[in-house]
Amino acid sequence: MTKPTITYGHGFLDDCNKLTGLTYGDWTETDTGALLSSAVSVDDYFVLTRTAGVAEAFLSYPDEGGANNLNLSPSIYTKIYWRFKTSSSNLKAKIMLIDSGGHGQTVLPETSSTLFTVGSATINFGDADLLDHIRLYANALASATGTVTYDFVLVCKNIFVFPNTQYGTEFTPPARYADIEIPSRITDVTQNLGSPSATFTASCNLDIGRLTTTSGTCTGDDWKRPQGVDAVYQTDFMKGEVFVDISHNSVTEPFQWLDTGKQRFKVTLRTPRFPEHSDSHTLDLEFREYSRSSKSNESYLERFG
Amino acid sequence: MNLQVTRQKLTLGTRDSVTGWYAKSFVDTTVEMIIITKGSTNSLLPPGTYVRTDALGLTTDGFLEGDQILADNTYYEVKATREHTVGDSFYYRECDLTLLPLENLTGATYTESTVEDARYRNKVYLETWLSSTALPNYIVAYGEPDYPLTRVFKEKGVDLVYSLGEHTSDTVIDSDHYPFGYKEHVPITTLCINKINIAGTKLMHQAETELRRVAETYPLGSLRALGARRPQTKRLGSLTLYSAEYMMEYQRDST
Repeated sequence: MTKPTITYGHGFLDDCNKLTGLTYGDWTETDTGALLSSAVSVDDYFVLTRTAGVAEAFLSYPDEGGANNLNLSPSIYTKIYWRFKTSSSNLKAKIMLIDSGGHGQTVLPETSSTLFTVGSATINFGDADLLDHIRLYANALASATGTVTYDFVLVCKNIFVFPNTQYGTEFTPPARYADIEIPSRITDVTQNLGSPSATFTASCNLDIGRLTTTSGTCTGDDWKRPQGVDAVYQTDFMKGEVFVDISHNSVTEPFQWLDTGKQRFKVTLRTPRFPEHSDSHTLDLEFREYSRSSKSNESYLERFG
Repeated sequence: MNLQVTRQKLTLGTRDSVTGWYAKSFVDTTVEMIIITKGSTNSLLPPGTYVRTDALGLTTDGFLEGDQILADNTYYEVKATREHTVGDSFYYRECDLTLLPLENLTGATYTESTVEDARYRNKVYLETWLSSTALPNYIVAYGEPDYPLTRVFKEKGVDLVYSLGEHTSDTVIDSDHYPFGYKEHVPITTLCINKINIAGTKLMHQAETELRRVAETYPLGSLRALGARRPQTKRLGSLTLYSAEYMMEYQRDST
């Protein structure tokens, strides 16, 4: 029984398609110089190539030697998500957050994965310090060389857990060919001209809004944020408001991270619908897969895993 | 022959915060009563009397419905009393008695669920929104209390009872096949009688009007709606018990 979840409220997003010329400058190497190179691959991934040696190698954003800081409050932006892979088990990804006091929180300890892997963590510096810098590491065992690839880093306010999807969900992973009708079709259907994005639809009952993790004495409705608290502490005005938030801010938040409970991928939210009838108020959602590059770069397990 | 039995006189105390029932307490006194059990033949039975329930008690002492009797380690509850007179003088009293074979048993302890009873949810709802200015002395309580309703109308001075019956329910299933809520149907029965200044049939209508007002004004939250109404008025001898049952339908989560 895993309820779908989705991120909301971006504080920082790097889709790993640009190393320089960002809002606060460039991703900058500030270690001892163990990185051989850093580059953007297929307009979608940071590929950090490193030389052999145990010295840690990382890029920071913004430049820790510069004047700019992210200035994100962990009390507002509570979660960080990332996606990475390593070229072998000898290469190690690692992510550390640097706060305004110069202290670090390692949200991703040294980890290897030859398939793209998603992770998340709660940002907690243990004090009121702000999140100022993000470090993406490419570490290695002593004699190893190779690459660490990052797909995205997202700092967001939180995740929203769908209280229910009573009226159904539908995951639609399309075949990867263009389904061209006869008059235009030249040869077989498998022409590799591209294909639609995967979609996920969910139809929810807004009238029942209690997560199983919420206390029975709680007066709040989990279709409103923050979830799991008494109504007096909830700031959302309407049920399902998080999806209005996501929809409205889609102009500055290119994608959200959706976990359907079975599949996980980047999505954009199509126009949410809030039908109201005498016997039920519902919410209809359609999410469309987001991707900067061809899905040929990933296996289906990585794509939806 | 020893005719002495223990009379346990029922007294209703304060109301339970969950069920709305009055707390029962008993005051023991020793009285005399002839107890004739069902199926037995006894020459002491006056002509025309017979054992209607488990036993019949004949006594000159005062008893009311709900009182209990302890005789020879056996508990009985007084279900009805009938007074017999000769001319204008009290002669003796018949008491219909039911056996209480499981009285005074002690059970084990347990931890109560935090999931609220469907009746309790509706009790809180009604007690929150019913208007005490629109209604005379009323209470909202679970149905089937283990004491006679006559005590409530007479001893406690209650004019109107909203009685919450046991619910029926349907499970609401999520798309992942796990249940996450319930649609519950709780019968609410209004009960009232004629009193000085109160016409029971009018009060029954007033109770319905007030119930409808609450349901019309506060349908949100658990999505309550007042469903079917069934007339339940009964003539009980000389007493008319004005009553109607309404089905309160609502949705709830599983917690």
